[in-house]
Amino acid sequence: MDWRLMRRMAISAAIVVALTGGDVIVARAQNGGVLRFGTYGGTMLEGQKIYLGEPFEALTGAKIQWTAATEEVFANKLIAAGKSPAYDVVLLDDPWYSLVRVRGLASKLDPAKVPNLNKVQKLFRLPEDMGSCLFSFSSGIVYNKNKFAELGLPPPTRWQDLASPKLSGHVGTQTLAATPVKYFLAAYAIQLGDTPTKWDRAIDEVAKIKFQSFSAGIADLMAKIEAGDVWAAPIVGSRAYALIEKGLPVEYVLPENGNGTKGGISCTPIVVPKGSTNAALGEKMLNFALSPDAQLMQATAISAYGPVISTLDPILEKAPKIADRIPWGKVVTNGFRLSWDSEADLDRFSEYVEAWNRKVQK
Amino acid sequence: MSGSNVVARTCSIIFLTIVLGFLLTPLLYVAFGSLNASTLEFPPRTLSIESYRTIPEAFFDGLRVSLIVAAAATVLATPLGVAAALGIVRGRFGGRELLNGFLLSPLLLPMLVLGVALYQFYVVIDRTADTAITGSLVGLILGHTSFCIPYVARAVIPALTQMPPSLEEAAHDLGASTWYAFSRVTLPAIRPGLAGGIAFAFLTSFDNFPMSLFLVEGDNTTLPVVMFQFIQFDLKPTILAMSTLVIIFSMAAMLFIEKTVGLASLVGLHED
Repeated sequence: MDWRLMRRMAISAAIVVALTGGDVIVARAQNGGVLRFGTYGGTMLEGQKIYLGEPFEALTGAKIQWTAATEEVFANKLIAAGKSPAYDVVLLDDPWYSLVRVRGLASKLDPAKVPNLNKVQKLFRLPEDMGSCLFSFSSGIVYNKNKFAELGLPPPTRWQDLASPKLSGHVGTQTLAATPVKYFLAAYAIQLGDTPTKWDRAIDEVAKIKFQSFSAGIADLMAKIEAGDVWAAPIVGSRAYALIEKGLPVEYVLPENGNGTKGGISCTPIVVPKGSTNAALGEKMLNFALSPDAQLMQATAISAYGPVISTLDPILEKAPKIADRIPWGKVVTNGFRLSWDSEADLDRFSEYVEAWNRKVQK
Repeated sequence: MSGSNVVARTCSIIFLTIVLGFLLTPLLYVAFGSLNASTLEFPPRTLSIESYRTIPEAFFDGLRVSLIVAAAATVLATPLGVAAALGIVRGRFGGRELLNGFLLSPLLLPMLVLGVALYQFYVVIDRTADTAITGSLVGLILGHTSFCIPYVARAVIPALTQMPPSLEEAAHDLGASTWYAFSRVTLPAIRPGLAGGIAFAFLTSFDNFPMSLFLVEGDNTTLPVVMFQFIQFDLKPTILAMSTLVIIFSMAAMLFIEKTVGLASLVGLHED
C-alpha cells in the first residue's frame, strides 16, 4: 500500500471539501427567508440590486439570491423544472413569457395580496394577471443625424425608412429575439394587410434590405453605432438615450406603425412561477416593485425603464429630464403592444425564427 | 549546412512564426484592448487602466467558482478515468467495445443538451430525495465531472496500450500486490498521458459555458457565464481586462511550474 499516495489523495479531497464551503454536503433548501430572483445581467442586475433588492431586504428582513441569465434560459429552466421552479420571481420577455403562461407555469396573482396590481395601466395588464409587467420600454429607430444630413435624408418617420437604398449596408439589427425587431416586422405586416404577429410576407420584404450586421446582443449593436459602422437601427429607447448621453450624434424616434400608433410600447413581465416554495415572498416583492417609489427609482436607475403604473404621471410631467427617456402618459395610453396569446401563435414564432435566419441573416 | 537544410530550416521558422502569430495575436489584442478607457476601440485612442479598476466583484467570484469546480471535477474524474481506461485496455469482458463507445458519448452530445438533461435530472432527484442539488456547487461539479472523465480516459488509453502488460505480470510474479504494481509500475508508465488528460479535463471544465449556463444559480456561477451575462448588456473594456488577468495568471502558473518542478519532468518525459 502506497501510504504517501493515499495521504496525498486524502489531503486533496479535504482541500476540495473545504473549498466548496460545505456545499459538498447536500443540504435541504433553506427557503424560509430567501427570495430567488431571476433577472437579466449587466446594468439591469446592478440597478435592481440597488433600487429593488436593498430596500426590500431592509423592509422584510429577507435575503435575495440573484441569478442572472437571459429570458430563453429562464423559460427553458421553468419548463424543464415543471412543478419545482428554481425561482420565486423571474423576468421573462415575450414571447417566452407567453410560452410559460400558455404552458400553465405562471401563478395567477391575487390583487388582494398584490394591491399595487390595480395601479397597473390597461396596456400593461397581463392576461388573467398571470404575472405583471414590471417596467416599460419603447422600441423605435436610432439614427446618426450627421450621416442622414450628409446623405440628404430626412429623419425617419416610418419603420420602412430603414429600407432606403442610401442606407444600404449601414443598417444594423439584432436577431429576431430582440423586441425592436419584432415591431419592425409588425409594421411591415400591418402595411401588407396582415395581423401584427403574422410575419411570413414581412420577413420576405425585410430580407431585401442589405444589413450591415446582425448583432447577437444589444451591447454589440451599440458598439457598432458608436464606431460609425451602423447609421440606423431598430433599438430599445433606453439604449438609444444611453448613446445620446454619451455625446454621440444620434437621435431616437418612434416611427409610425401604420395603424395610427407610433413605435412599440412593451413591458418586461415578471412572474411568480407555479410551485415556487416562496410564493408569498415573491408576491411581496412584486407588490413592492409595483409601488410608486420603486417604479420611480426604476425610471431613474442606471438603465432607465418606464413605469407600468399610471400614478407617476403628475411627477413625470414636472420632470422632463426623467420623462423624456421613458414611455409614459399619452405615449402609453395610445401605445401599441405586441402579444402572443395562443400556443399556435408561439409555434408560428418558432417558424419565423427559422425563416429570419434563413432569409434575412443568410 | 547544406542548401536544402537552410531552406528547410527557413521554411520551418516561417511556418512556426505564422502559427504562433495566429495563436498569440488574439491574446495580444485582448491585452492591448483592455487599455481602452471606456469604449472598445482598436487601437485604443487613449491608454488607461481604468477598466482594471472597474472590474466587478462578480468576475472574481466567478473565477473562484470556476477554479473550484474545475479542480474538483478533475480530482473526481482522474481516478474514474484511469479506472475506465484500465478496464477497457486490460479487461476481457463482454461489452468492452460498448463501454469504450459509451465513454465517448459526453463528448459527442451537444453540451447544451447535456446541461438541460442534467438540470431536469437534478430537479427529479431534489423532488424525490428532498435535496438541493439543483443550482448547487455539488451539481455543477458532478456535471463537469461527467465530461472530464472521457478526457482523462482517452488520454490514458494510448499510454496503457503502449505499455507491455508483461511489466505488470512481472511485478505480480515478484510478489507485488495489485495496488503496489499499479502505483509503482503502471502509474509511472502512463504519467505523460495522465498529465495530458488532467490538463485537458481542467481546461475544458474551466472554460465550459453551455452546460454551466443551465446548472449555475446565484453565487455558484462560473466565470464564463458571468462574462456572458455581462456582455449581453454592456460591451466595455472591463471584459478584456478580466480576460487579460486570466491570461497573466495562467502564464504565471506555467512559469512557476517550470521553475520549480519542470514541465518536462512533471509529465515524466525525462525519466531515467
